Amino acid sequence: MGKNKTAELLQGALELLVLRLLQSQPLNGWDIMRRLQLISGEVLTVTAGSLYPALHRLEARGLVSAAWQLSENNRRARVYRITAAGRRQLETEREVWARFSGAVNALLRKA
Amino acid sequence: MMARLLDRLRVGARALIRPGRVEQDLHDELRGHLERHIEELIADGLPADVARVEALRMFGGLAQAEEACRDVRGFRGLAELRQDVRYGLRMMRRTPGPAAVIVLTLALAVGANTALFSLFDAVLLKALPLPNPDRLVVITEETPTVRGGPVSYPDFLDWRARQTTFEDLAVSMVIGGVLTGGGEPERVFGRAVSRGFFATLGSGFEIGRTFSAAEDRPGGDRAVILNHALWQRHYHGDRGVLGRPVNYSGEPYTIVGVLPAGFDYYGGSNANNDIFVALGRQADRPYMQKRDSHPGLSAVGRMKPGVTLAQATADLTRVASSLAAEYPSTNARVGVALRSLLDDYVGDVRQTMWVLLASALFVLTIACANVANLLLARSGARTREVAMRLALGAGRWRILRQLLTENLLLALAGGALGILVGWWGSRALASVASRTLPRIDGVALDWRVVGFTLGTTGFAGLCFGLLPAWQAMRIDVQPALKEGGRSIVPASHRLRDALVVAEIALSLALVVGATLLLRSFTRLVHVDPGYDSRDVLTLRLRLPDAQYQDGARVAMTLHDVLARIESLPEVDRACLATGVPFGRMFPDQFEIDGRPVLASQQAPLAWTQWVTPGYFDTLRIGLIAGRTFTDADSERAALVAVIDEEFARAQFPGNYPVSLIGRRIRFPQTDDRWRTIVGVVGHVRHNALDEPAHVQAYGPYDQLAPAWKAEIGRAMDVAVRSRVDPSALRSSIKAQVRAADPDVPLSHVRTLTEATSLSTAARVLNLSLVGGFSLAALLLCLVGIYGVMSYAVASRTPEIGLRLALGATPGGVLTLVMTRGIRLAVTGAVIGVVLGAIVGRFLDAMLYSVTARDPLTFMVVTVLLIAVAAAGSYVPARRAMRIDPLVTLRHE
Repeated sequence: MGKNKTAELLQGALELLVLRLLQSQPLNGWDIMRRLQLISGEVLTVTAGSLYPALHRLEARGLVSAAWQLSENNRRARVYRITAAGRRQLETEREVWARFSGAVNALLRKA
Repeated sequence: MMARLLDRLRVGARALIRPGRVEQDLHDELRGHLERHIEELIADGLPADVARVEALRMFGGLAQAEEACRDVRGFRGLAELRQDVRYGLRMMRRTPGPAAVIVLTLALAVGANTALFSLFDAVLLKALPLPNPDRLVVITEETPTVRGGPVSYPDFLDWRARQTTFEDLAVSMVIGGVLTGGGEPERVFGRAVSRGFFATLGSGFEIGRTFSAAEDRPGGDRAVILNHALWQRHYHGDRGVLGRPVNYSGEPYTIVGVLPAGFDYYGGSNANNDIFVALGRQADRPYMQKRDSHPGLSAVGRMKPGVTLAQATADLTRVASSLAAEYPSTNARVGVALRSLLDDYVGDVRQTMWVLLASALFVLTIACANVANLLLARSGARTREVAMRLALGAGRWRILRQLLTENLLLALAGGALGILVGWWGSRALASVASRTLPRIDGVALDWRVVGFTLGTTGFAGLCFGLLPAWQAMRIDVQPALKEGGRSIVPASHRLRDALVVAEIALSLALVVGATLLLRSFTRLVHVDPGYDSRDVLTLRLRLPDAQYQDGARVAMTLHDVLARIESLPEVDRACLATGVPFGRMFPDQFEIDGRPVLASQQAPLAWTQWVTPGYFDTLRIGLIAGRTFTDADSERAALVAVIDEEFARAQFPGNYPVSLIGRRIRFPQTDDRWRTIVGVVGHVRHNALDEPAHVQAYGPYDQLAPAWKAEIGRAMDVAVRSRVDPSALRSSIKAQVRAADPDVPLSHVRTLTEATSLSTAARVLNLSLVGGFSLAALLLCLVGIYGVMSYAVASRTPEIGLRLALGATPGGVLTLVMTRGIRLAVTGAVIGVVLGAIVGRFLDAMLYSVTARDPLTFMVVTVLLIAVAAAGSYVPARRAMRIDPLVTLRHE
């Protein structure tokens, strides 16, 4: 049970991060992976094996859309783009996250 | 929110519609990622093979990721469905026997329903091929004595002028004439129509136009409009026929229009509508000017949009009562009745169609109960399999879905085969029913029929699919595995018993219906029609109007034809009459000398025939008192008449039968001279064996005034009593008529036996359908009860073995099992009797001299059903009797 909760939490965080990345520009899976590693460093180990299911989940929920495109070096890649619904979702989630992390931080400081 | 939903639907739909493509995309995307990683690692200096391994390791489970992505997209549901279907097919292959029985049972039941529904659809549901057909109504005049009567012309004109709820009204009158010029003269039927007729119906023209005002008045130009079929037949669809002359009934006409294919109107008459002339040309004739004269006009109207039948009826009733006030002598107590045009065509068969469809649905329900029973037995045997899978962690919902998929597959196979059976069946039915049901030529497998079949198949699949699945849901894993799979879910017994009871109840109701129809039919064919139909050939003559205006000439030709026919050596006797049985017969008003004369709409009616003296001998109609006509009853002799026993009973109740001879009657609307009654003959069932008794009267044709001789004699029937097979006489009689006048066409050439069987054809059809369904139901019952009892015996083998070991006699065991089977049957029969009594009401209109609650029928059928149940239980009971207690006990 406890393990599941953690997984859920991490999954939620991953999706939130992906939406945040896509907010500024459309990206393919590889680029998202690279940026995630840059941003989070060693704190959050994201493997491709967990990223792609997350992307497909977001697509199935209509938060991102995807299409095949040719990249700069003429490589065919599936490019993800945030949808209007995704932006709204990002706003709500960000607030929730801020409140949650704020609460956790406050608690940690007190202790 | 909406866009999001659509997005999700789109993703799901993509996976559903193009699973291969989506799978490929997923594959490409993940491989693409991996390749790129490998390239980068190689660029960093790793050797290719190491780079590949490293990239895969860092990916973190390629196969799992793929699977996770599929999960997200609802692939799993599809994959599982595919898996279930494969599994189901494998199960079918593994036990082909039961699967085949189930599929065949369903195919036959669904096929029967499809075929019947296609008939139902064509007759009752299909819209008439006219624009807004629901606004078309047929209007008839109602008097205290005549219901659904034709309309008089002046009344029609007043209706039309004074109504407010119709776009237009029109009348038409059936006409029959001879179309000559080229080949054999053809008897062609059609209608004289008022000018607004085609506009009222909403029919356009293939080519040409409707009648002009100049063609629609007395003395106007003679114009005809042809129906599409006649145009094709005579002119091979030549579009240049407009303006061409054509000879109809000896008069020259000009073709001004051709109707489109599919034009359909036969309100009130089954005559073909091959040719149309303007009714207005006859407007100055006496029969068109009197309000109490009914030249057989049938009225049709198109209601304004939004007007209901009740509003239109109220409107015309208002007009009719104002006419009654203005013309009391003719219109007092004359009302109107309206019904939709479709009702006018099919109103008579509506109930029959419902009864037939209901019978078919009964059979389907019984078949479903049977299939459910088979599947329950099978799933009972699969208890262990299901328990094992549950124990291994399969979800109950998953197993339910799988069992349902399996059963729906069976239903689908049955349904697909059923459509084939139904397609064949509907064509067979349509050809059999073509002469007994209206609108039958429209039978086709259209979307309504296919929808109905899909519906019944789905219903069937759910019915028999859910029960076993639901039962599997209740399996308790532990005991089921422990008892080695022989355990039985206790609910199963009760469920299966209930199914058999339902089967028996439904079958009983159905068989009661069939038996009632059968008894009606046997009573009907034993009805004495009042004449001897064996060895009689009948036919109809039509003397062309133009050449036959003079009464003496008509009579001469008729006598010539009769003499020529009687001269044939094979002919025993022959006669002429205005109508032979199953031919025409018209009600005519009559007055009896010395009785007060009633106003025309209340005057009594007698079905009157004008005949030659041989009529009663030819048809062997029994003489009750006095005499029939002889050659001595000629033009110059005293005028005479003969009445039938119904007439005598109705008009001279006390004096029947003798003392009314010598009284005088007359027919004021035909030849109104007084005639002396000289004899009473037996009653003739003229149109159908089951028709209510009409009052009948006869007069000698030779004693008609010359004008009437021409008017009546131009359309006469001939009856010939033959010494040989009457159908062998057709050609020689045709030759004799041709010799008398080659321009006289013959029609309706048939033997009286043919005509009789045609008149009962509808009953035969109903009886064979309901009877066939009943036999199917009985067979299903037999199989059903056999299955249940076999299963019961098999599952109680240890118990029975124990009983035998403890000293029960084999006879006692037989009784034990049989009692159980018969108890089920009796329970079913009790419910079935109640059900039969309820649904029997709907049969009333189809029965003849049997009531729908005929106790004998119910008793016999109940005994029959219980006998069937006993027969079904007997074989399993015998098996139970032979159980070896040693074997079963050791097995335990």
